[in-house]
Amino acid sequence: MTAATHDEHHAGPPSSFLDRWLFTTNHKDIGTLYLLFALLMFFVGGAMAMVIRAELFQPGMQLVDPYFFNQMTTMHALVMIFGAVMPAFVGLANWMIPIQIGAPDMALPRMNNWSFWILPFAFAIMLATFLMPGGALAGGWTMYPPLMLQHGMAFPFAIFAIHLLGISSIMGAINVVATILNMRAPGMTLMKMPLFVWTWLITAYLIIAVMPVLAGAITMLLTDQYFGTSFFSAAGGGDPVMYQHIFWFFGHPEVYIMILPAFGIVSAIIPTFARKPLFGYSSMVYAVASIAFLSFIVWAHHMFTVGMPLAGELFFMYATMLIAVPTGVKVFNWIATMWRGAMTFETPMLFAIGFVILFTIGGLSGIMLAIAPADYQYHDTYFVVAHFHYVLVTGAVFSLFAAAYYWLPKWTGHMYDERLGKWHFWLSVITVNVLFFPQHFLGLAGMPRRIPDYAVQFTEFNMISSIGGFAFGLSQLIFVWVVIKCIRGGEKATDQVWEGARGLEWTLSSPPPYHSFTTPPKIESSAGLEGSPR
Amino acid sequence: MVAIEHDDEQCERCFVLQPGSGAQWRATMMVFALIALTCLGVAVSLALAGYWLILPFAGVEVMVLYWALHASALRAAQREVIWIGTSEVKVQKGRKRPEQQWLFQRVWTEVHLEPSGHPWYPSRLSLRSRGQEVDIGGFLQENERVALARELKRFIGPMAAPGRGV
Repeated sequence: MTAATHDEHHAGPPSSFLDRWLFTTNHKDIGTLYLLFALLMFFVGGAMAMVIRAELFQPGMQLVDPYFFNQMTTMHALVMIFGAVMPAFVGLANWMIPIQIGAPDMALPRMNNWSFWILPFAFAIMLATFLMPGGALAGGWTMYPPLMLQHGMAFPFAIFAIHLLGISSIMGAINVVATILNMRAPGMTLMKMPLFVWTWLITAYLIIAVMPVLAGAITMLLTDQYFGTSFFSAAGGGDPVMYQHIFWFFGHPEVYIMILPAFGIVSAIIPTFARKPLFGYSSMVYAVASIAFLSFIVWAHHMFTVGMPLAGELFFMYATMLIAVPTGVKVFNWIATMWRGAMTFETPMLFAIGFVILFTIGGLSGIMLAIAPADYQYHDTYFVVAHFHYVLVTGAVFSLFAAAYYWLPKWTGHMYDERLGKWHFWLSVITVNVLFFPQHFLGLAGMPRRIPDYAVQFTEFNMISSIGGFAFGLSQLIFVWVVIKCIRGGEKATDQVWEGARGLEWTLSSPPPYHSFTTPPKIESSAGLEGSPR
Repeated sequence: MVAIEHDDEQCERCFVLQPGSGAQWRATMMVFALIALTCLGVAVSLALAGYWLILPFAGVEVMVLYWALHASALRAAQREVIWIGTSEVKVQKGRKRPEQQWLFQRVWTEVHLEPSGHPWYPSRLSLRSRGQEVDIGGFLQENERVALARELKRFIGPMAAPGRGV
């Protein structure tokens, strides 16, 4: 054989720490690296959020100067999106997709290693911009020109870091597509795949489709600044508003990139703890695909106030509202799955139910924002901040917690501390609402986002929100302790772990062998696959 | 998975090893076409509007995607054939046709199964003779590899007289 496979590289255990973690091509190792990196970035981005909430605790300037405050809001978003949520989902994909489809590993293990190890370097560059003259990016994560072009040294470095993050995401997505299409076990047809795998296939499609758009847009910013082009420079005949169109053509699918895998996770957990098959598997698949399609034709709802023809506003308004249909199908199916099920409420299920309820609140405020005339009032207010945090924190992040609790016993071979898990859930679910719900009222009352100071009438709700923020941040330390405790030991987990769990991952030992299925299992029927028809 | 064919009259036995995979190249290409169409369609539209810098990124990405799908599909088509004749053992590896071949003397060949040092890692199965060694069944499941080794040892090696047990 001319080309060595990764299996042969692992004929024996790695001789050193570096071999194990730096040069690993094993999907479980790389998944673990992604998840730990995401957790670290969650706290880095969280620390920035704490600075923001501390500054907003009272009106007036308290702790930081306005420019640093703007750096915090910008970098908080970039770190949470590209450093925490996306890598966490890629980590889950790495861990779970091969063992859910009966593959020995990801299709391209070396590419997998690169796609992870690009991340720490990209973030080192990104975070190093804080130390550069002029500080880090402060114009918002959307990087609109001409404001973006007024930055100091941070600008080209941040663009370079975002390019690296994009390359990492694309390599991860290509690997997911190749793995799902070429490495499924015999008999594992597409419509027998667990929903987590389906949602990731569609997510990977979205990533591959829109990442070049982001790469091109920020490269054009760079050439406008340093090479004399005028893509977005009005003075040179360019159009700064076109940047907004191009950015949001990437940006809106990006939102779904951060939420579709969450749908897959919840679709795995709810049937397990309801002890019932998932209601409407096929409709779930079609709903996810519909959401992905619609995500390409709704971008301009982020910029209703920029000035568009009435026909354009109407089109984007109605197209956005259409998303409620497939999303409603999903919520209906989750509820129908729970209906008359023999439900138990272990921590993963609590987070999954929390997701369904709170994500729906985020979805409903999204419909309010989709109404173009109403959006003129809500635009760029704290209402928007509340909306997308309900979607991304109680949506994406809660699903990640649910996934971590659900699969931790499988990954580590130990049961996590259920009592601490429940403490984590209840503290999180209470404090996250204290943190974000008042922001709806602030937004409706007219408090703009991305400002370090505000009028005194907003004080009480800001104080409540900040207290919720600090408490939510502290609550997450419980999660860290649960994970550490679970890795170090605890009650031995069975292979099945959860009574109602179905799927190939539960046929493996806990923890699974280093190479899961060196020869794929035969899938005789769809029976037993969680989140898929039985 | 392992398939065994044998011809008792000719004292021949043939083991065909292949990775099990549900891959279908046609379906893979349909998904590739959908992704490429979306990606390049958007990039070309924006290029026509003057924002051409998206196109090279999209082009490179689609090429890398094709390479990734092709490379992983080729791996799924990998085959190893171990042919045991009266006096010879022939190992062939390749995809659609034999790309590499090793020839051993049947009685002077050893079937070597090296257990892994850790339960996380797979064992290593090889045939070796006179300084020549070839790994086989790297993609098999552990119990399949052990069973294959046991089966091969019945026919290959100093104690496997030609024709014995065939």
